[in-house]
Amino acid sequence: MPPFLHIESMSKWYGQVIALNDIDFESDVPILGLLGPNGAGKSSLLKLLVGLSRPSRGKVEVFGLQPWQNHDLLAGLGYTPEHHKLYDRLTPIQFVSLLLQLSGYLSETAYDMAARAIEQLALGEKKDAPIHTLSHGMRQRVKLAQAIAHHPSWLVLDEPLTGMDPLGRNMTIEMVRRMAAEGTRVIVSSHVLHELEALTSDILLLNRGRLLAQGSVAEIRELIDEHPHRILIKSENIRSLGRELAGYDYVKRIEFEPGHLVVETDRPDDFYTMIGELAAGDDFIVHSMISLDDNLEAVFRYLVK
Amino acid sequence: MNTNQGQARVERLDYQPYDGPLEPLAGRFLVVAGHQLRLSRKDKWFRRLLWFSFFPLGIFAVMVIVQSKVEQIGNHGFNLWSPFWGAQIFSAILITYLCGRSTIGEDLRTGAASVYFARPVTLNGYLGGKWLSVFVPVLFVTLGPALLLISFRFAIEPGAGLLSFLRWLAGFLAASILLSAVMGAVMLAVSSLTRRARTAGFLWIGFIIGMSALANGLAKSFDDPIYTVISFTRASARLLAYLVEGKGSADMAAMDALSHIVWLVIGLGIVRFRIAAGKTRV
Repeated sequence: MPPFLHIESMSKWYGQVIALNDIDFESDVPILGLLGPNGAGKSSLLKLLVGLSRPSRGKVEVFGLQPWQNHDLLAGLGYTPEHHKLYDRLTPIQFVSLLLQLSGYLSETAYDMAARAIEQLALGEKKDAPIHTLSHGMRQRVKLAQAIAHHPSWLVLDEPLTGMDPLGRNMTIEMVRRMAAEGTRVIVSSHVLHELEALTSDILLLNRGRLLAQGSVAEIRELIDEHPHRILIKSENIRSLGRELAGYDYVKRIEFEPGHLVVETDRPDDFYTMIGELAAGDDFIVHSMISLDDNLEAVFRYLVK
Repeated sequence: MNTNQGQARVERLDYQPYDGPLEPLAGRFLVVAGHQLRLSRKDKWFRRLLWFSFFPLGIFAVMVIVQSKVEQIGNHGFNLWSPFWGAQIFSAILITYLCGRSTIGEDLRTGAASVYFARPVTLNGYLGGKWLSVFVPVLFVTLGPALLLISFRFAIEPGAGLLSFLRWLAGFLAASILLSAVMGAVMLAVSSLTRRARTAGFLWIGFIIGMSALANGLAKSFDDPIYTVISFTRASARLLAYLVEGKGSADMAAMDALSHIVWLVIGLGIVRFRIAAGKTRV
């Protein structure tokens, strides 16, 4: 049985722009998370997987088949693109029915399936409302409804949680996990680690078209924690605070700025514990603490050094 | 029911795996066409123009009656079909503007193209459906009134025999089909050049005017009417006059027909290239 995903020496370029560069990986997990900042190549990779474009070089296979113009493979696909503009003049039920009919379902069957999917995503009251009247979060749910309505064997979700309200987020997460448990293979992309963390423990890390890392969320977190963290601290007496902090071996660097200092540490958990104890005492007044590197951009900068 | 992947409780989704019939891949273009026509139908101006295109029918019906009286007293009738066809071409241009300007552009603007092509739909099926969604309304506003008028004329004109009726029918059928086909193709091409329906509409009108101006200008400059075939609307009018009234030459009629085919190929070629080249795939 071929693996769910097999990508071999794959590159994709558009003219002079290299969107993906020499990607190699194989995956057979139920839910695979694709993590990367904006412009990392996540959407480009997903478009290759769903047959919207072809690789410039190398091979892309899904269940051992190449997706490009493979209608049998696409018949089992549920795909939500990143952009949220849909047919504004259609209602959710019309939109989902249309796409089901494009998958070959007869119109009455398509309508019933669409209605069921819309109910499952708590859009029943809005099923006959024009899409342009719906909120961003509801539009995300409409997108998801068209992807899941035909019980696909594989799901590709490009930033599905962006802009969703908390109810929609929980619903999406539960639905994806349930579908994966029932055998649907899922690829979901995001630029926010904790979003993917709620869905899966298997991550691909992309940046600037390159595959940086593949592993579990815990391993990615370790990568994040390994790189030096920079923390901005506002305090009344930054000089004496700085002197105090300099005594700890996990404080690697201290920069003094007017009204605040920036500390660099390679053990952020220990640092936060320590600074909390200092702030609780009488010697130092800490007004605020901001992590300057608690984001993926910093991780990626670190990883590509 | 608990998933085995975590602690989230998931409500029963009530999925029912489908094992019923599926429409064949070859028929998906009808879904595309049906969807696009339903979108057009939502536009009130589109609906109004469909019926407005029958308005000249009343005027020309009166002319048919007058003509039949004139011929009864031995005088020659007057040219009827060419001005009628001119009026229908005008309606065709407008209906193409209304229903065709958002065919490809809307999909680009909304990103629906990416959702379309992630389904088992072929490029030809997609284009065929989009083209059909313009072809059908244009055929309706050209052939519909024509069928009524020729039937009316056949019914009331004493000299109009079955052969005349069949000639008119064949002529209008051919001219309508050719005109509808080429307008659909060219409009798709125009729509694929921009993501804004309004811009596509302006481009379409500008193209029709520019094409006619160029054709007329070249014909006058070189003093040769052959250059008027550049304009498929001019070619359509002349082709109909030949088919229905016997005016003009067979060679010129062949060139007029060829003009339609060339524009059809150009239009479909442009839109296919735009999509296949990835420029229009979102």
